[in-house]
Amino acid sequence: MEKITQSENAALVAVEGLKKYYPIKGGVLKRTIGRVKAVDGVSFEIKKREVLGIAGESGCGKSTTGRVMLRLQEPTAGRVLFEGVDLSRLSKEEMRVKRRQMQQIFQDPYASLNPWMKVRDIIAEPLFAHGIGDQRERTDRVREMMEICGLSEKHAERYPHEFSGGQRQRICIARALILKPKFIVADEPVSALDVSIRSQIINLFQELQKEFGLTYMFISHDLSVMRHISDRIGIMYLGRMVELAECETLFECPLHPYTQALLSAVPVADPHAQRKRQILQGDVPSPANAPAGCAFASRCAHAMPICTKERPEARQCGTSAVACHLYA
Amino acid sequence: MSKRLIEVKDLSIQFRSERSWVTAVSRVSFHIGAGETVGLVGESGCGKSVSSLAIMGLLPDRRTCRAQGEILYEGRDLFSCDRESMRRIRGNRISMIFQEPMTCLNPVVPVGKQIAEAIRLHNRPDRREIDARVVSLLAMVGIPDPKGAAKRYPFELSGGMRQRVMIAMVMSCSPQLLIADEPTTALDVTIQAQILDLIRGMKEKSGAATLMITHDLGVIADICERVIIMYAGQVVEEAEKFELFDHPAHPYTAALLKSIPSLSNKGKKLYSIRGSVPSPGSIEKGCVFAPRCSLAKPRCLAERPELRDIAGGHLCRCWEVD
Repeated sequence: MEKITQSENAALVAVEGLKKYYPIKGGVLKRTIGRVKAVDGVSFEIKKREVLGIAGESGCGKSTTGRVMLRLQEPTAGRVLFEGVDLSRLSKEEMRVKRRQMQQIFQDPYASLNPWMKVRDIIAEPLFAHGIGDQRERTDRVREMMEICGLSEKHAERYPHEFSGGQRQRICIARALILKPKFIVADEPVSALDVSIRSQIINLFQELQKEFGLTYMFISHDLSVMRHISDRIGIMYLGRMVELAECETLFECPLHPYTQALLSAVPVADPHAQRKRQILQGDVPSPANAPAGCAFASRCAHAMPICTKERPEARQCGTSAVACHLYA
Repeated sequence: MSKRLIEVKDLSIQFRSERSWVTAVSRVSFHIGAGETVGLVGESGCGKSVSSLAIMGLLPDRRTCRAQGEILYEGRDLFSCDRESMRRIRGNRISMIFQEPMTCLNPVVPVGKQIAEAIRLHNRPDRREIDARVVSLLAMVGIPDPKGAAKRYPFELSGGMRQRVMIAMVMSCSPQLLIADEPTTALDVTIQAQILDLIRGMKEKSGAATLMITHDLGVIADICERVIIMYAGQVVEEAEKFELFDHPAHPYTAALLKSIPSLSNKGKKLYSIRGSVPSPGSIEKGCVFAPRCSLAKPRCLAERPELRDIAGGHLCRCWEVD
């Protein structure tokens, strides 16, 4: 089991050896004939007021990690500690109370808002669900939250379809923040937005973090957004964390061959940028049939015999942690 | 400048809504030279995809959509072509690849057969020749085991492989113009790099002109020679790639470039354009960008600027730029 840790102090969330396998059913008797290893032994910590970015390509398990951390899905193995409390040991009711402190914002603001509800009710719903405040107090808090998120008062009586993508994401953010959580998992929150709107929402995320002292786990495949917002970045590949480093360290001196290839593949909006592009061959292997050794070995230019046999453990390398046999 | 392969002149496209006609594209003009790669950039709903569908002759029928203006392909007006001659141009001379290859491929037909169909429709060679052609095309777009892959169904292939199949299909008729509508948006970064590399290679080999439609300025910087920026159904700026990135003239282009996170604005507040993209046809007078523009003057709200040449082929639609 790999373990990527930095300092022990002031960790708000700690993830230890987290695994999430999905069964594949087949045959007449619908027996489990295999397992999709969506998340396969991931460990990291998020400090208070930190922004941890999780990057990786589709199917690498970044979203599943986020969902399992909030116990929207049960982990197969491993545990998640929130302020030192093991979330998987909490009862359903205890977990419900704990959720006030952790919220998720999703990619698609079209799918995550109930089209039959007015914006006012959508934003107030968490207050109802947790039985907080009376009618007047709720109305005040909704109004306050809407103002903070850049929505005007007249928007309160409207329905989600009347809003553009950027404004809908503001509604989602207002709803997530109304319970005054400490920890937010933002899963691709700006991916569905146009460029001119995206920067507004990124700015909003940063303002809110300063104002409320929030801790974010920011999941995205867009590395330029990641570099802008994150303090540290973890790179995932096929259910495993291959590298975890300080943001600038990762971009200046990426260690893992996959991180190097990923960074070189990002198109840069500067025609003068002279870069040697490393084009990876082939596709990501299926997580249902993950290789025994290093997950990246089949596409890696530096693959050695050991890479296909033995799974590399995460090792500390300067301030970064990297799971690669090259750094053994 | 090379010979003009396609020329779009004063193209306007309107769609029928419940009560009225909504203008999606308003007097758009541009041209693509033979062998040139032109980028068409804009946000969702700015009319970039609709313009390309007009070039392909794929707009919906007259009851729901009307188009004015001219699209000249080697001097021939495509709007006045009859259906049969348009069919011969489409696919054979002008081909298109779309964002989501899964929706473009028939899910119940093996991919090899689908490529063969494209070849048979346009060239009519004999069967054995077709099979050999299919395999060589699949090999050319970098699909491992092309013989085996030809027998596979689209769902058995990954997103990147499906996009390769689409590229093999459009290249089968060696078109002179390839329209790529967000060809890599649905793909992962490392796969995007593969596909862009492939498109670049194909272009070099075949000498086809390419119209690359995208919202990603990174892709533009990577692959295009000239760039057209669209906003709310109009062309607001057009320039050579280096000129555009180094000296963006239109406030919208400048703001767009500034709002991309980069090293220089790390940790700082990102530049953002206030407000949101207007719905088509909602701005009737003045400059379409004026309500969101930081330089807007009273004139901008009252009078609509024309697209003007501001410096040797650098076109810009703005009152405030000389």
